[in-house]
Amino acid sequence: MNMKLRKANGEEGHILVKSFEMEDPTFESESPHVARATFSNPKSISFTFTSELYLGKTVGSKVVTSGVQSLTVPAKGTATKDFSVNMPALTIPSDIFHCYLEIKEAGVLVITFIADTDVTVIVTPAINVTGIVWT
Amino acid sequence: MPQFAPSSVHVATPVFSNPKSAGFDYSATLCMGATLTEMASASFHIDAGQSKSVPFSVTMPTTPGTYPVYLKVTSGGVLIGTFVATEDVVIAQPKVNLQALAPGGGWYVFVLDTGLQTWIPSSPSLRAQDPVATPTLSYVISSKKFLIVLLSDGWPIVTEYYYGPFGVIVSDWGNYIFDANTLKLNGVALTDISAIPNKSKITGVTNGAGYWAGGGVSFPRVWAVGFNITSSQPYSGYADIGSYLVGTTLMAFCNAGEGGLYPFPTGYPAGIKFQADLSVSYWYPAQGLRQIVYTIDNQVQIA
Repeated sequence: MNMKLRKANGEEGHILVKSFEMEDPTFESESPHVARATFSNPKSISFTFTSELYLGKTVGSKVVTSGVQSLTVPAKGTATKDFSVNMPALTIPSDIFHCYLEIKEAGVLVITFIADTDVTVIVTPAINVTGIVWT
Repeated sequence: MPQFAPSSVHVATPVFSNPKSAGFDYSATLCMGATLTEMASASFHIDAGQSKSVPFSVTMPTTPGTYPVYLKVTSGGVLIGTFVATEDVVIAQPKVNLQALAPGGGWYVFVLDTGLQTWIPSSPSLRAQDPVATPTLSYVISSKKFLIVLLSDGWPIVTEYYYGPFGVIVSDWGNYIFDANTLKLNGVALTDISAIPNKSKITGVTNGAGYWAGGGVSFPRVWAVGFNITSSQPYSGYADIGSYLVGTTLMAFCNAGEGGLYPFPTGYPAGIKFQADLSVSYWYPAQGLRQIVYTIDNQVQIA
């Protein structure tokens, strides 16, 4: 599904997220998933930055992260980047996390986007049975 | 594989384990048979990564057969697994497996099922022409009450020499060994009915099986009366030998000359003095065990 992003903190105008796609945002605990972002550079010079997708309860609190990835978007151009993330390991049946996309230039925060749809992480119940003892 | 008696109650205890990182509430149902008949259910919680033994009290099916065992497990109302046990459960009428260490030398061990009132065939089978009894004989008995007797001659010849009969009541089904040399069952001396003072009053209900049972000089005519034995009471100073007959059917005999009996109607409550070492009476079927005697206690002439 294509999700909309909005600013969580930082300054808008340097880089735009043209689209942000990921699967149905209900995921099994610890399962790996990929989100694809297409960036758009509104300026007349190329823009080189690092981006990091993470899930958390608040901005900056990174429960799981894709790791920092570098990207250059040409002037007036677009570029696509995939972010692989393993879902949080839960100790409760389900939990909800915000999805953030953090943009930094030369190590300095430019903007943090937040997806308008949260990610639900679940643990599907399972059980094993071993031998029956009769008395 | 586990084997149980019909309608008996047993506890199945499987071990459940939660492989996930979160704890869950579960409900499980133990089912038996191809149609997955639900026998018992339980609800429980297992923390993440933990295991739990959960007991299921199960009343076994009434019909003998082999039953696969299943466990259906749900969580949050959603079925998350149906498991089949690696071992089926066999429902079968339990037996007493008696192994008799026969003394040989022309002595034979005979076993009478007092419930069915039938002689239990031995394995190997006994034959009158066998010169020496097989050292070890096996019997499968469907009753916990039975008689053991040693005769000095081959079946079906009436013998002058015997040991017993020994009245046996076992508390559990399973395997037993009767040593005919020591006259002990699993090492325990048995009650020799004909050798100890014993006298019980057993009471029951006639089952309409009365009939003339014999005649002649040595065995004057007697009445045989069928009784379904409901209780036994010892006389003061005597052993309560009749106790092992409770719940069985007995064909009691009485010398007509002594009692002047007439047939009892079906359902007539009556008592029988159960004594040993008197004169002419037989176990049913009458096959030579002259040492057990019954006399009708409250003799009532119907005609």
